[in-house]
Amino acid sequence: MDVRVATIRRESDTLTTGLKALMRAMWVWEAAIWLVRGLAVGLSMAVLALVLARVLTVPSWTPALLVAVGVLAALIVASTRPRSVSAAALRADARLQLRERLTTAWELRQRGASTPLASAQIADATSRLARIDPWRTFRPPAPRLEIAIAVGLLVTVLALIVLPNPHKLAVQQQAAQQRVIAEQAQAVAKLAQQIESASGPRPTAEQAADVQALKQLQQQLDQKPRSAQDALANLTAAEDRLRSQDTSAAAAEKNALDKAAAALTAAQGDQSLTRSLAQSIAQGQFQQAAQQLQQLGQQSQQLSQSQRDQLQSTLRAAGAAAAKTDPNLGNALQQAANSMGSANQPADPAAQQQAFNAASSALQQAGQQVTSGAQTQQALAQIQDSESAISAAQQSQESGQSGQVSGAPNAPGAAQAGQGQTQQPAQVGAAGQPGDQTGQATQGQTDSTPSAAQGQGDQSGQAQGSGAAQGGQSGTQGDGQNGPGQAGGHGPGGGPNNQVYAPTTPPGHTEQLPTQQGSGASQQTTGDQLGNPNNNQSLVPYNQVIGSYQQEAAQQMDRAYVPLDKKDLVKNYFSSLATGK
Amino acid sequence: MTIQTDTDVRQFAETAETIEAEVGRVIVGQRDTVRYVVIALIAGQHVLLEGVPGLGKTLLVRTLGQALDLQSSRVQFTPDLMPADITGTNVIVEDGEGHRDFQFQPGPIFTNLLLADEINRATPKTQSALLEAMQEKTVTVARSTHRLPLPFFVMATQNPIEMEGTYPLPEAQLDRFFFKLDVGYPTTAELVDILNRTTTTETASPRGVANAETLQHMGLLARSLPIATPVLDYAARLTHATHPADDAAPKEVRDFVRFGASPRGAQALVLGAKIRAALDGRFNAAFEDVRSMALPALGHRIILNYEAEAEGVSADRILASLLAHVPESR
Repeated sequence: MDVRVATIRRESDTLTTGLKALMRAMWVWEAAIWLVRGLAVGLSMAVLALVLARVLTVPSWTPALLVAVGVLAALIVASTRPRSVSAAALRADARLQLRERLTTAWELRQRGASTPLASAQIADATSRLARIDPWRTFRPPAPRLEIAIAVGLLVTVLALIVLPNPHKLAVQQQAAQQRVIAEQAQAVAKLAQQIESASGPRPTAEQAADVQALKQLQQQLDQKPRSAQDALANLTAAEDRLRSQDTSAAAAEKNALDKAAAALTAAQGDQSLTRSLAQSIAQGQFQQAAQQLQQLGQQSQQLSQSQRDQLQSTLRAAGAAAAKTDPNLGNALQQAANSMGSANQPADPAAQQQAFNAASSALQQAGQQVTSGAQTQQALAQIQDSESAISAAQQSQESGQSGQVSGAPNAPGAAQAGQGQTQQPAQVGAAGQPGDQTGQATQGQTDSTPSAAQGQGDQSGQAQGSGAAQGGQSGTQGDGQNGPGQAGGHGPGGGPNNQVYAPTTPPGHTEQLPTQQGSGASQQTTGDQLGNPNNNQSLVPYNQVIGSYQQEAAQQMDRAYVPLDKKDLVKNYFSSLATGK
Repeated sequence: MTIQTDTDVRQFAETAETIEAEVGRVIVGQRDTVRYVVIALIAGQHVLLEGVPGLGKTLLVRTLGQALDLQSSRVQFTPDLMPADITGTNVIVEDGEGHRDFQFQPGPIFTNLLLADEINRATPKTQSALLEAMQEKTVTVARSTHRLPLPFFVMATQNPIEMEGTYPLPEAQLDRFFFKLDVGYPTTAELVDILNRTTTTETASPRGVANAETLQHMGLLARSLPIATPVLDYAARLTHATHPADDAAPKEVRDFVRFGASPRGAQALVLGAKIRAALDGRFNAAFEDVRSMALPALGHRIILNYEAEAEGVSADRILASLLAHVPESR
C-alpha cells in the first residue's frame, strides 16, 4: 500500500511537472500568435489614424501608440489562455488525441486518489506525457494570413508616413503664418514703445494718435487664432487711420525748417556761428538746434559788430525763408534778428535774449511737429512692412496648398511655390519693377524701418541706392551719419524705394526726415530738385504711392460695384504689390 | 469482489474480445451490435434489438448465452400471451400422500438471458409484467415475490415494419432498456459468409468463454474506472440538450422532440463509456466513449413529436445534430 502511494506520488509529481511545461509551451506559442494578431490590429488602427491625419490634426505619436495598444491587448488576451493546468491538460488531450488521459490523471492527482486503477491511470498518462516534446508538439502552424496582413499593413503605414501629408503641411504653414503675424505684432509694439518714449511726457496729438493706432493694431494682431486676411484687414485699417491724420502741418514745418537750414548754410562770410545750428536742423536734432539758438542769443553780446550784423542777416534770411510755410517760426527768427539791434541802436540784452528764447521755442515746436510727422511715416512704413511679410506668408501657404492640390507634392515646382517669396520677385520683375530685394523684405523690415528715410535720401542723392536702402540696412545707417546722399547703393535694388510712375504726385517735393537714432538727417526727395538724373517728375519712390493706391482701391471697392468674390482678388493684387515693394 | 488492478483491465479487454470472437464464429458481421450487446451485458442491463425478421437477432441471443455459459430461454410474444405465461403461475400439485397444494411453477423468465421475441406484439398487461422483472429482478405471483437468477438480462426484439396489431412499448418500459440497437442488413460479403455457414452440414457452436461471475466482475471493474469531470459534464450536457426547453438544445431538438432523455440515459452514457474504455484497454473514459454511446443509449429515450413523424425525422438524425451542436468542453 505504501509502495503504491509512493509510486502514485512520484507519478503525480512527474505529471505536474510535465503538465506545467505543457502549459508554458502552449502559452508561449499562443502569445506568439496573438502577438501577430495584435500587431495586425494595431497596424490597422495606425493606418486608420494616419489616414485621418490627412484630414484632421492627429498627434504624431498616435499611430505608434495604437500599435502598442494592439500588441498589449494581444498579450493580455494571450495571458488569459490557458487558464489552468486542467485546462491545459484538456487542450493537450484534444490536440494529441489522448482520450482525456491527462485530464483524468490531473483530476485523480488533485483528488489524491490512491486506488490501483487510479495509479495505473496516472502512470499511463505520465508515460504518454513523457513522449511529448511540448515545444515541438504545440508549435502552431505559422499564421500566414495574419503575417501577410501585418506585413501589408506595415507597408501601408510606412507609405503613409513617407508620403507627404497635405494637412500637416497646411498646419505648418498656418503656424508659420501665425508666427509671422506674432513677429509683426511685436515689431508694431516695439515701434509704439519707441514712439512713446521718444515723444516724452507731453506728446503731440499726432504722436498720441500714432501710439494709440499702433497699440490697437498690436492687440488685434495678438488675438489668436487669426487668419492672414484678418491681420491684413487690421493692418489696412490701421494704415487708413494713420493716413487720415493731417500731416500737412508737419510737412509745412519740415519745409520751413529745411528752408531755414538752407538759408543758414547759404549764409555769406563767417558761417561758424550758424553752421552747427544748420547742421543740427538738417540732421533733425531740433532740441539741440533750439539750445544752440538760445546759446547764440547769449553769445551774441560777446560778438563783434560785424559778426552780429552777419548773424542778424543770416537769421533774417532764415526767418524769411521759413515764414513762407511757417510764419510763426519765420517771425520768431525775424524778431530774434531784430532784437540784435544795429550799430546805431544797441540791443537790449534782456529783450534780445527773450527774442532768441522765443525763436528757440518756435524752432523746438516746429521740430516736434516734424518729428511727429516722421514718426507717423515710420509707423506707416512699419505697417506696410508687416503687410508685406504677412502677405508673403499667406501667398506662401496658398501657393503651397495649390502645389498640393495640383497633385505633385514632391515636384520641384511645387516646392518652389511653397517658398512663396522666391517666386515673388519674378512677379514684381515682370511688372517692370526691379525687385531682387523682395525675398529679404521680411528680414529687413523691422530694422530697416528707422533707416528707411536715410535710404530714400541716398536714392535721391545718387539716384542709385534704392535697393541698398532696403537690403543693406546696416551700411545705410552708418552712411547716414555722414550726411545726406552718402549712403552707397549697390545695383538697381528693390523694395520700397523703387521709383514708379505716379502722374498724380506733385513734382518737386522735398522732405527731410530725421533718422530715429538722431544720427543724421536724410533727404527724401521726389522729382529732380536734388539732382536726380531721372528728370521725369512723375517718378516717385514706390512706397510713397502704394499706400494711397491701396487706399484708393479700397475706397473704390466700397464705392463702385465690385462683385463680392472679386473683392479679394483686388485686395490680393494690392497686397502683392505691397509685398513687392 | 477484490479490488481491481491494471492487470484486470487487460484481462477485461481480452475476455470481451474472446466473447466477441466466439459470437463472431456464429454471427456474421453485426460487430457493432455484438459489441453494444456485450457492453450492456457487462453493465448488467437490458437491450432492445430492433430489426426486420431474419437478421439473426434470436441467434445472437442464443449464441451469447452459449458463449457466456448462461442459461437462456426464449418467449415469442403474441397478443394472447398472458403475464403468467412469462412469470409462471401457481398450480395445484398432489404429493405422494394425496395432499394437494398450490405450488409456484416458474415461467420462462426464470433464466439468465431471456429473449423476448417481438415484444411489441404482447398486450401492455403482459409487457408490464416484464417491467417489474427487468427493473426489480423479481417476480410477484399471488403475493409471493420470487427472485430471478442473477445475472438477469432481457434481450427483446421488435419488428419496425409490421405495426398492425402491435402494442408499442410505453416510454416507461423503453426507458428500462439500457440500449436500443438497430440490427442492420448484412453487406453482400457478410451475406455470402452467412450463406456459406448456414447452407452446409457444418454448424459452428460457440464455446463458453465466460460465465456469470466473470460478467459481474467485469461490470464492477468498469464501474471503478475513473472518468474526468469534463467528460461527465459533457454527458450531462448532452442529455440535457435532448430536452426542447433546454438552452443548449439545437434547432432539431426544439422542432422535433417532445420529451428528452431521462437521467437513466445519462447513466447509460457514462456506464457504457466506461465499459467501452475498458474494452479498449484504457483506464479512463473519454469524450469519444460518451459520443459513441449516445445513439444506442439516447435514441429510444427521445420522444419525437408529430412534426418529426410527419417529416420522417428520426432520432438518429436528431442525435447526430446534438453531437455536432454540443461542444465537448465549455
